[in-house]
Amino acid sequence: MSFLNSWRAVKYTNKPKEEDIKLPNSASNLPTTVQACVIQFISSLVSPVHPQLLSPEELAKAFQNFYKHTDEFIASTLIPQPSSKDQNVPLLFPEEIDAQKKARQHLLNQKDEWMDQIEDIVCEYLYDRIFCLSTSTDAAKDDLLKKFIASEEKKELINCIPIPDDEKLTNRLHEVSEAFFALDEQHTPRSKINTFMTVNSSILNASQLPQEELNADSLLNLTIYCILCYPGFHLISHLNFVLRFRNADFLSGEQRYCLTTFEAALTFILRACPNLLTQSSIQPSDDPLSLEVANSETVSTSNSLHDPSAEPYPVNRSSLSNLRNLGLALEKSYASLLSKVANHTAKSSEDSSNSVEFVGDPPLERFLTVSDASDLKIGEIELLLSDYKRLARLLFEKNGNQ
Amino acid sequence: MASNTAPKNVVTINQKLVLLGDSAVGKSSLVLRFVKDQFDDYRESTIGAAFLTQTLPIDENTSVKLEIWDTAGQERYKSLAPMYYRNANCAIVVYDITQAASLEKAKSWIKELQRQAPEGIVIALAGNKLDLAQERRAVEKADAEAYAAEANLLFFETSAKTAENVNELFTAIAKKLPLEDKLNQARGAVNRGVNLSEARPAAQPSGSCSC
Repeated sequence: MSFLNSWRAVKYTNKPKEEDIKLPNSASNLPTTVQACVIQFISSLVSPVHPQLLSPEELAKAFQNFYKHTDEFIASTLIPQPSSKDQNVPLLFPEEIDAQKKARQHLLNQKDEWMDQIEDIVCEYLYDRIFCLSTSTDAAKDDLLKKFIASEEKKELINCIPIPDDEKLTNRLHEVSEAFFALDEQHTPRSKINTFMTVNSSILNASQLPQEELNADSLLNLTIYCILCYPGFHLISHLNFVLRFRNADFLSGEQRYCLTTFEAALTFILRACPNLLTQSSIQPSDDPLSLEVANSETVSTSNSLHDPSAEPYPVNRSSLSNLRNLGLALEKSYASLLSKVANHTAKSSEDSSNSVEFVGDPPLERFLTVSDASDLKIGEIELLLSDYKRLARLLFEKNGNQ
Repeated sequence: MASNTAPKNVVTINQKLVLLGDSAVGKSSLVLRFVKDQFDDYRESTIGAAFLTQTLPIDENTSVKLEIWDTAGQERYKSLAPMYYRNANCAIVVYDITQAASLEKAKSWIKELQRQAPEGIVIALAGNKLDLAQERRAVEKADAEAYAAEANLLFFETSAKTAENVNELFTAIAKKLPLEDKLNQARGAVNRGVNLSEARPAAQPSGSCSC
C-alpha cells in the first residue's frame, strides 16, 4: 500500500480518532504518558492534517523531532533531577552519592531502552506508509539498480573494480549477499541496520585480508561487488528507511560509517548507469542528485515547466561541476515555478467561487533576492532543491484538486 | 586502591575525523600506528582499518573520542568523498613526501574541504613516509610548511613506520578542536539527565564476530 494511496484514502474517510490507534502489547511496559505521545505522533501522520504530501526530508525530520522531544520529555518528567544546588540538603556520604549516581544511570539506561522501543513501535505501525515513499525516488532507483544488475553493463563495472581475481572470494561474496534478503522481513530501523552491519562484517571476513589492508578502498570495492551479486530488490529503499527513521542520536560512529559505505557503494553503481538511464523516463546524468530533479512530479506531470533551453548535464565533467550546473538549472526552474504559482494564485483570486487558499510557507527569500545563480553557494543547492520540490508539490496539488 | 573519594566526572566528547589523500600515501598505516600505540584503549574494530576510534585526554576533566573515518583514495571514488566528510569536525589530508604529485592532490582536497566541508573544520596536512626522507625525498618540508601556514592548517611530517610525529599530529588536532560549546552542552545535559556526550554503544549484531 503506497503512501499516496493511503493518503488519498484517508482524505475521504472520517478522521481517525486517537482511540482507534491500537498499540502492540509490547507498548504496555511504557509509561502511560509516553504511550500517549506515541499515539499522538502516529495520529498526526495518519490524519489528513498535511494538505500536501510530505517530502522524504520533511517526514524524516518529523520523526527525528518526535524522537528528540520524547527523549527530553522522558528525561525531564520521569528522571529525578540532581539536588546539588539546594544547600539545605544535608551532605551525603560518598556511598550515598554513588548509590544516587547508579540509580540515575539505571533510569537513563531505561529511558534509552524505551526510546528504542518507541522507534520500533512507530516504524512498525507506519511501515506500509513510510517504506519506499511515493514522494521519493526510491522505487525508481531500485528499479534502475535491478535492471543494471541484470544487464551486460554490470560486467564492465565489475571489471574496473580491483578486487583479487579469486574464485573462492567471489563465491564467498555471493554467499554474503544472500543476507540482504532478511531486510524484506524486517520492519524496524534497528533490525535493518543490524543486517547492514552483519553484511559489512561478513564482507570483511570473506576478504580474509589482514587488518592493515582493510581500508576504505578495499571495503568499498568489496561492498560494490557484493551489492552487484544481490539478485533481490529494494536495497536503496531499505537503506533510506534506516537513514530517515533511525533515531540519529542513537547511531554509533561505527554504524554511521557502515551506512555511509553502503550509501557510497550504491551511489557509485547508480552513477555507472548512464546507458540504462536513456531507456527510462529519468534524464541521463552521472549525478544521483539530478535523479531527484528529473523524477520530480512536476517534470512528469507538467511539461510546461521544462525549460527547453536548459543545458543538458555534461556526463564527462566532475560531480562538483555537475553540482554547480544542477544549481544553475535549479535556479532557473525555481524562478519559472514561482511565476507559475503566482499566475495561478492571481487567477484563483479573480474567481472567488474557485478561490484556493495558498497553503504552506512562502518561497524562500534568499532565492528570490539572489541576482545571479552563480552567487549560490554549493551548500545552498540542497536547500534550493528541497524548496523547489515543496513548491512543485503545491502546484501539483492545486492542479490535481481542480 | 580503596578510596572513598567520588570518581572524577570526566566528560567525553565525540568528534568525527576524516582521512583524505591518495591511495598509496599510507593513510591507513598512519591511523593504525596511532591507535595501536595507545595501548591502554586499543580494541579491535569490526570494520578493519576503515573505521577506528581513539580517546585522547585534553585536560583532567575532558577527553576527546576521535572517530577516525578512512576514505577511499582511488580516483574513481573521488566524488563520493562528500558523503564521508559530511558533519566532520576535523580532517587530515595526507600526502607522501616521496611523491610530489600526492601533494598536489592533497592541495586539491584542502581546497574542496575549504569550499564544501562544515565551517570551522580543523584541517591538518600530513607528509607521510618521513623514514624515507634521506634517500627519496621529493617534497621539501619548507614548501609544504609554507603552504600549510598560508592556508592556516596544522602541519606535520610523519612516519607510520617509525611512529615519528604520529601522536603529535593527532594530539595537536584534538587540542585545536573548538569544544567549549559541546562541553557546556554536555555538562548541562548531564545535570538535566540527558546523555549527549557519547552515543550509546551499539549492540553487537547477531552472527558477527570481531576477528
